[in-house]
Amino acid sequence: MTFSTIIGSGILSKLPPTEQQFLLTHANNILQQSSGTLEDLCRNVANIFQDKNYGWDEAIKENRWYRYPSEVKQQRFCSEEALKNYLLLQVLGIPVTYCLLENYKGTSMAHEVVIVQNENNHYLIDWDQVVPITIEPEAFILTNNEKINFKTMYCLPQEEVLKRVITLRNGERFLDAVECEQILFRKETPEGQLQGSVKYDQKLKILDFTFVFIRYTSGLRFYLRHSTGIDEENKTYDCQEFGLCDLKHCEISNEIPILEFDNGNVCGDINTQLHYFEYLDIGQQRSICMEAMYDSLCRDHLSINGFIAGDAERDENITFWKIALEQQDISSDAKETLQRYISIYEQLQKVNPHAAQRFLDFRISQFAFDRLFPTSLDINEKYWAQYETNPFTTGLIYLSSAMRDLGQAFSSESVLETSNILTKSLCQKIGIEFKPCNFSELFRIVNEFSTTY
Amino acid sequence: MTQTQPIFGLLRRIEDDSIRREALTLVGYLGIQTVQGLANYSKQYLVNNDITPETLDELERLLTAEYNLNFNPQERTKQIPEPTPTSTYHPRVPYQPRSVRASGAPPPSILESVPHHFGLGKYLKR
Repeated sequence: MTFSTIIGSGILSKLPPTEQQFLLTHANNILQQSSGTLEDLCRNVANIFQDKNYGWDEAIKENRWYRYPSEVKQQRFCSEEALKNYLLLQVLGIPVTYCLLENYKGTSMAHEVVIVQNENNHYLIDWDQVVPITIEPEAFILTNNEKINFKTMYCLPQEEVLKRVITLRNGERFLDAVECEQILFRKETPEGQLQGSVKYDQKLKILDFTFVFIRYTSGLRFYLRHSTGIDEENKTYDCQEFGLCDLKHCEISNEIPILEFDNGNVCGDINTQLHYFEYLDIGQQRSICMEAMYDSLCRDHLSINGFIAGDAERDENITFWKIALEQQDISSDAKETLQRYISIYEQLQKVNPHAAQRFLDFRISQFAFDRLFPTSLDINEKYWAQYETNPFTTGLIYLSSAMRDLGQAFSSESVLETSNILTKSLCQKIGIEFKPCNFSELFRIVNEFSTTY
Repeated sequence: MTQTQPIFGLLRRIEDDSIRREALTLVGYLGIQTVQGLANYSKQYLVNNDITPETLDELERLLTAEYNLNFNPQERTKQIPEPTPTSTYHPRVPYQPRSVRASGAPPPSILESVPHHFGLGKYLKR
């Protein structure tokens, strides 16, 4: 059946044949799998891409900057996810609204979601989340009163949703996108999770690429940033920065710069810059001491009792923590931490068992260490003191191991490929010779410095 | 006000895979959202537009048996708006074409905030 003679206004009549087939196949499967409630249908729609990673760089590398669902391979970003949900729901005959949210969750990022209405109720479909919501002018309110805030919500009519795919897919309008921060990818690497993002400030003509690395063991976060632009003398410059940071809703919320490079040269005195340890809070200092020690013991994959656990020990500890949570005498802080550790471990198990093991082994080792050298946060304990009284060495040992893991993350993936495409495209578009993203000098200097000590 | 039934309920009742797929194609092409919207069409209109007799029979059977409805006896040559569920949701900000951004926020990372907490040695199973 072709329906070639039907003058329809439905979504299928406006899509290429390949897309029609893709949507029909999935819609048909969803109808068979679903229990038949609207919520369950939406959940099945939301789960179609659950095996894909997050990111924009697959689309950029293919030079199709915004793709139809059938074109998505291993990775999709929020616009592609929302488009897939919108099209599938339309094919299933479910009324759906496409929403663009600016300053999503208080970040500088925009986000795209769809909303389904059922009589007087609304369901938000946001990644794999399908939740009933109340809509306020600047927030969605979930049933548990959690608030998802945003500055502005734009609701796109059907013709705009489809027009955007055509307008954006050739990349000519990518500048519109990179004016607010865009996450390019999130990759699992051997020792941590690496996230890359881009932002272009059109007013100041500064192009930033930021890479955030989260170690599976301690969960400490590092950033590497490459900024390139034009100085007062109209010369192109580039700067690199490396430091520790916090994240909030995938965006850097706090930075502690450690090393700064300007046009390939270290800014100021490197010795001064490497004294970052004393600027950290006590929790971060302890984590760094612990991880520096853990790293030195595990570097050669030595199976040292208490540092690399077996499956049975991992299971025993998780069970033990779950039992502890039921006890009355446990402080709320400790309870919260244990609960969080269990939750992180169990979530990681589903997506990256290696990361889950690294995370849990580190915690088991930390607990073992806490038992051997009990301490309060008063920094009087001898063992901690040997790290804390030598902050420069501790900081440097730690930095060196972090750089090693980061280097591994960068070399094992084509991390800089997308940033190079974006830099080149931007150069062509606005006629400025931005410098390509490169951290080799930074890596070289830290490596050289750390081997000297 | 006439109560409307979502079309996916009817589609789910179709057991034959190829008929269900054809019915889905029809729904997707015509933009039908409700069972009442489907019943607004005449059989002749659908026949004229290549729908197979098997699918037409199944749709007619379900309309009658499950929803107590029949296809429109009058010939339709063009689409008329179908009844849609009552809406209480009105977009507050109209779409502004300038904001055509492919964007933005990824799902939260599991590792985004790992607490730094020391002194938990007694919770080690050894």
